[in-house]
Amino acid sequence: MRNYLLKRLAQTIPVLFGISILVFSMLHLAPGDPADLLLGPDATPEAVEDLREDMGLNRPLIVQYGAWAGRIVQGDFGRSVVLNRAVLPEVMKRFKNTLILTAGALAFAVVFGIGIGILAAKFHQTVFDSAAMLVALAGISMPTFFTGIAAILIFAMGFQVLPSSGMYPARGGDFFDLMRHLLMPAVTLGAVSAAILARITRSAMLEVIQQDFIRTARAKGVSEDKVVWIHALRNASITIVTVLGMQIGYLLGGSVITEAVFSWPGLGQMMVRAIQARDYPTVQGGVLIIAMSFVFINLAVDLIYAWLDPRIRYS
Amino acid sequence: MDTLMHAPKTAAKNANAPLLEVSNLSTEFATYAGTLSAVDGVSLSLQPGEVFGIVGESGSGKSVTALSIMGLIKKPGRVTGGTVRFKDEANLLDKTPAEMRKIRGGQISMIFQEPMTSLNPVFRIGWQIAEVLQIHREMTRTEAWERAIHLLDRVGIASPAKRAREFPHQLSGGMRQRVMIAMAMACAPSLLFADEPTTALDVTVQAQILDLMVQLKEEDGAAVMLITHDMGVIAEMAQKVAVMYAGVVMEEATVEELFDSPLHPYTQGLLDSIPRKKSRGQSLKAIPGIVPNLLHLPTGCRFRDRCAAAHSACALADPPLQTMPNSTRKVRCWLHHPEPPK
Amino acid sequence: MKIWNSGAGALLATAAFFGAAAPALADETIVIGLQAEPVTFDPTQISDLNTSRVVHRIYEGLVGLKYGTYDLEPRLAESWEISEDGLVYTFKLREGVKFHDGTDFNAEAVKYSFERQTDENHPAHGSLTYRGAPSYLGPVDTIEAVDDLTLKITLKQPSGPFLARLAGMTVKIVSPAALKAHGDDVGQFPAGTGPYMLEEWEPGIRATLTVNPDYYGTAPEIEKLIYVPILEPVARLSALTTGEIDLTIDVPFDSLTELEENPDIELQQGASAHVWFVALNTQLSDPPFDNVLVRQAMNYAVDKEGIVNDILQGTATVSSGPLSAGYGDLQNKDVRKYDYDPEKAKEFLAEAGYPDGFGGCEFMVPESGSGMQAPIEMGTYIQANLSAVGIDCQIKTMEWGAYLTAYRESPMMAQMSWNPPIGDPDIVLNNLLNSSNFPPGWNAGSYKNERVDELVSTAQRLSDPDERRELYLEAQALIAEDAPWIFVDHGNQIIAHTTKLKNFLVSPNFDLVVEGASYED
Ligand SMILES: Nc1ncnc2c1ncn2[C@@H]1O[C@H](COP(=O)(O)OP(=O)(O)OP(=O)(O)O)[C@@H](O)[C@H]1O
Ligand code: SF4
Ligand SMILES: [Mg+2]
Repeated sequence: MRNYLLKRLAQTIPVLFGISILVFSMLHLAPGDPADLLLGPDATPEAVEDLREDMGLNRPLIVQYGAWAGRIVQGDFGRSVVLNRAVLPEVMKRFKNTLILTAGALAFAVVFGIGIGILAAKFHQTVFDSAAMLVALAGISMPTFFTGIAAILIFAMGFQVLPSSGMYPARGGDFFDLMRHLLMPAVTLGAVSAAILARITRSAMLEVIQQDFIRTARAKGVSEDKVVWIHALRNASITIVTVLGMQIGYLLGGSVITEAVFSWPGLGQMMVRAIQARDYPTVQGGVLIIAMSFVFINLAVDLIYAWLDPRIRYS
Repeated sequence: MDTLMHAPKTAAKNANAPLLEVSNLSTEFATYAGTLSAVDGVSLSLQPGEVFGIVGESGSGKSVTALSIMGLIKKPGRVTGGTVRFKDEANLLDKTPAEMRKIRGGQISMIFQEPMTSLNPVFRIGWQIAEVLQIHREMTRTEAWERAIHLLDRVGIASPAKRAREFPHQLSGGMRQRVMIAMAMACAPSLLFADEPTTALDVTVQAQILDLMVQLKEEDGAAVMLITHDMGVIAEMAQKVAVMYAGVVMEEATVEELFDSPLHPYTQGLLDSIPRKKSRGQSLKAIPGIVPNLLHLPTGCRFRDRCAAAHSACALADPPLQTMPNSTRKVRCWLHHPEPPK
Repeated sequence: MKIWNSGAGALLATAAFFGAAAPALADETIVIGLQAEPVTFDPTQISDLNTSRVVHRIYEGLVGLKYGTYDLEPRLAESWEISEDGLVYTFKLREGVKFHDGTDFNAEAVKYSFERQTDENHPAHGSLTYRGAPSYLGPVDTIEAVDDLTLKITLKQPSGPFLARLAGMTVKIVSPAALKAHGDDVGQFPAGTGPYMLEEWEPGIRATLTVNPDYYGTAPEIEKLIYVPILEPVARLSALTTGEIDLTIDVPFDSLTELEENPDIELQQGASAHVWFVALNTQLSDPPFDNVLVRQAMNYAVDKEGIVNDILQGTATVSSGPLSAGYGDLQNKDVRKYDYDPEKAKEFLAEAGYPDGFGGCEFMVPESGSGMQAPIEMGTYIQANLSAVGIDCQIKTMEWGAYLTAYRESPMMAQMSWNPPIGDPDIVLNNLLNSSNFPPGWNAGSYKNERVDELVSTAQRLSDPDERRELYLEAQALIAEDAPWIFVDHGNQIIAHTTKLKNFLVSPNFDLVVEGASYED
C-alpha cells in the first residue's frame, strides 16, 4: 500500500511537468501581451518595453520556461502582474474558496443525487421514480449559467430570501453567513452532478438488486431497508464513487461559471481574470494547483474504491 | 382435489404432523408476452427431519416453488394462491413481510446454487454470517462474530478466525458453499431449502458438501428440501422425491419406489439417462424435445408433445395428480388413472 | 454552533437563514457594488477603473479635480507658480497634513514618492511591477524639496498636460514610511492622505474604508465605505433592489426603465470622457479608406442615434469627435457632424468613384473589453448600416487580449474605446491621432494630418490653458472633417443608488465621489 502510494505520487511528477509545459506554451503562444493589456493607450512605448523586459517576455520561450520551472521547483510561484502580489498565497486563498463551493455542491449532489437515485430504485416503476428521473433529465440539460441567473432572479430578487452573490454580506461574516451565501451557488453548481448521480445511482442500484447476494440477504431475514441501504448500496457505491470522482473534477471546472455568476471569490474567477489579463504567473500557478488537486482527487477516489471493493488491491 | 387425497389435517402437535405442508401453491410471472404460471397448483408435504428431493429439468418451477414458500418472490412475480403451513404457524402466504423476516433465516433457511454470486462480495464472510445471528438471535456484534467463527469451524473451514476476516473472492467455490451452509445453519433452522447446492462445484467437492449437509442436518434435526438436477444425489440423500415439469408435480414417491419402478413416462425418461442407482454426479440427460414454453402449453397433458406413451386421451384433458391405490405415491398421467377421458 | 442543539433553536436558525435579506443599514455607511474587486492599493500600479474608484478615496495628488468635473483645483499643494518659460513649477504644500500612518506629509515625501518612480536606484523602485511614470513624470528633470512645504519641479521641456497629469492616479503621494515598511507589499498596506483610509481588506470579498479622523479638509459625512465586487449585472441589480448594497454601477440596460419607476432607487447618468469609435486604416487604398469622401460616407451611413437608443438604451451620447462633453469647454461642439443619412452616404461614395460601394473589408470586433459596451451587437449594427450603402464588411471577432495586440498591428477597420484617465485633451488627441503614434502606437489607423500633428504637438509644449484650448478646438474641427474614425458614441456612467443617498457625484474620470454625499434623515 505504501509502495503503491509512493509510486502514484512519483507518477504525478511527469504529469505535472507535462501540464506545466502545455499551459506555458498555450499561454505564451496565444496572441496578446500582458504589457498591452495592463498599460493601455496612456503608456509610453518605453514603459511597455520596460515591463516586457521586467517580465522576461523578450527572452526565448524555452529560457522563460526554464526560469519559471526552476523557481516553481523551489516553491516560488512568482508575483502576479495584475494583483501585484505573490501568486501562491493568493492562489491558495482563492482555491480554498473554490473548495468550499465545490464541497457545498458536492454535498448537495451526494445527498440529493444519491438519495433520490436510491429511492427511485427502491420505488422502481412508480410515479416517484418517473418524476425523479424527469427532474434529473431536466437538471442535466440545464446550463449552469441559466440556472444561476434564474436562481438570483427568483430567490434573491423575487422572494428576497437569499443573498444575490458573494461569500459574505457587506458586513459581518460568520459561519452562518457563509452557509447562507453558499446555498444558491452550491445548488446551482451541484445541480447537474446531482442529476447525473441520481441516474447513475438508480441504475447501479437496480442492477445490484438483481444480484443473487441480495436474494441471499433477503433469505437471511434482513429487513428491506438494510437490504437497500447496506447490502445493495455498498455494492452500487463502487459505481457511484467512480462517477463521483469524475463529478468532482467537473465541479472544480464548472465552478468557473458559478463563481462568475455569484461573484464567489474562488480560483476560477481569479483564473478567468488572469487569463484575460495574460497574467502568466497567476495562470500557470493556478493551473498547477488545480492539476495537483486533480491528481490527489484521483488518488483519493482510487483509495476509496479499493476500500469499497475488497476485490481490488493496489500494490 | 389434491388436498382431499391427503390425510385430513389433524390437530397440531400430532406426532405425525408434517413440518411443512404446501397446498395448491401457484405463482405467476407477468412478462411482456403475457402472464405465465411458473408454479401451477403444487402441493407438497415434509416431515420433520426428512430429506425431500425435487427434480426436474431446467425451468420446471423448482426454484420458484422454494422461493414462493420463503416469501421471496419479487415483481413481476406474484403468488396467486395456495396455502403454506409450517409448524403451527398460520398460512405463511398471509404473513406480513416483517413476520416472514422473523421466520426466514431463522426457522427456514436456504442455500443457493451459485456460491460465487450468492455471497455479498464487499462484506467479510464473518460479518455475513454474524448478520443472521444478530437478526434472529439478538446477539451483540462481538458475540455474533465469535459465533460465526465457531460456525466456520463447524463447516470444516480451517483457521476460521482468519477466514472470517476474508472476503468471498478470497475463498474457493467449495469453501464459499461451506460459508453459505454455515450461514443457513447458523440459527439451527428446522427447514432448509438447498437449491442445487453442489451444481456449481467440482465433483470431488460436491461429495464433501453433501456429506457436510447430511452431517449438520442430522446434528440439528433439520428437514431439507433438496432441489437438484442430479438423480444420483437424490438417490443418495432423499427419502421422498417430487418430479416437477412445467410448473406441476408429475410424480411423487419414496426414493425406493421411484428408482425401482418409475411410473410416469417423464420420470422414466429422466432415469433412463442414469446407468445405475446411486451414481452421483449424473445430470439429467436430455429427453427428446424441449421444455415447453409456459405461455403456450400443449392442451391436455403438458408433457404430451415429448411423451413416447402419449395416446388419444392425453390430448383431451390435463391429467390430475392421482394417488396410487395402496400407496402414498402419486402420478399425473392418464396411463395410471382409473378413468382416463375418452 | 450551539443553536443547532435544540429543535426550537434549529427552527429559529432556519427562519433567520431564509429571513429577508438584511438591508444595508441607513447608518453613515455606503455599501458599493463594484463590477470587480479592487486589486491593489498602490496608486502607481492601478490599471483598472474599479480599483481606481476605491483608491481615489485614500490617496491624493498635489493637484485634484473639483469633485464631479475635470476642473483642476489645489489639493496637497495649496498653490503653485509656473515660471515664465514653463519649465519650473513651484508648489506651496499644505501644512499640517499627515499620512494615514501618522507620519508627516511634506516636500520630502513628495520627492520620495515621485523619485520612487523615476529613479531606478531609488530604494523603493523595486516595488513597482510596472512604471506608469514616463507618461506622467516623463517631462520632469529634477525634483527639489526647497523646504518642508515648498517643492520645486523642473521640467526638461515645457509640458502642457503636466499639471492635469498631476491629478492622475500614478502620481498620488504615498507615505515614504509605508514604502519603507512594506516594500513590495505596499499595495496591501496603503497610507495616503485622503479623506478615507483602509480599515479592512478581504480580497474578493470586501474592502472597507473608514473616514480619516485627521483629514485636513471638510470631513465627509459618510463614515464608512464598503466596496463589494458583484460581477454579474443581474446580481448587482438584485443586490441593489433588495438593499444589500446602496449604490452600484452598470446595471443591465434592459432594466433601466424598471429602475426609473422604482421610487427607492435613483438613477444617475453622468457624462464621462469615454469614447467609442471604429478606426479606419487611412493609408489603405483597397478598401479605399485613404479617400476622405469614403470615410465621410461611412460616417453618414452609420445610424449612431440608433445604436445609442436601440442597443445602449440611451445610456450614451452620439459622438462627433474624439472628445466627449466630459471635457467641458475643451470639446469643440461646432465641428462637422455626420447625421444618419444613407442617401448622402451613397452620394459621397459615388463622388469618390464607388457608386456601387465596395467590399473586401475586414472589420475587427472584440468579444468583450473594458469600455467596449456591446461590441458584437454594435459591430453587427454597423456592418448592416454599411451594407445598406453598398459597403460589405466581414466581421472578425477576437478575444480581448488577442484583440489588443492585433489592434496595434495596423488593422483595416477596428472598434476601439477608451476611458482616458485624466482630463487633458492631449491624452486623446496625441495618443490616438498624432502621427508620432503610428502603430505599434495607438494611432491604429495611421491617421496623419500635418496640421493636426502641429497643433497637438504645440499644445503639448504650452502651459497657458487658453492658448492650448484654441489649438485643440482647431484640431478637433480638422479631425471631424478628415473622419479618420467612424465616430460612434460617448458612454455615460450609469449609477443607481438608494434614493436616500444625496449629493453623490459621478466624475468624468469614472470616479464615484462620495466625499460630499450624505443620507437624508
Ligand atoms: N423473474 C422471473 N421473471 C419471469 N419469469 C420467471 C422469473 N423467474 C422464474 N420465471 C419463470 O419461471 C419458470 C420456472 O423457473 P425456475 O427458476 O423455478 O426453474 P427451475 O426449475 O428452478 O430451473 P433451473 O433448474 O434452471 O433452476 C421459468 O420457466 C421461468 O420462465
Ligand atoms: S398423460 Fe399421456 S402424455 Fe401425459 S405423461 Fe401420461 S401418457 Fe404421456
Ligand atoms: Mg432453479
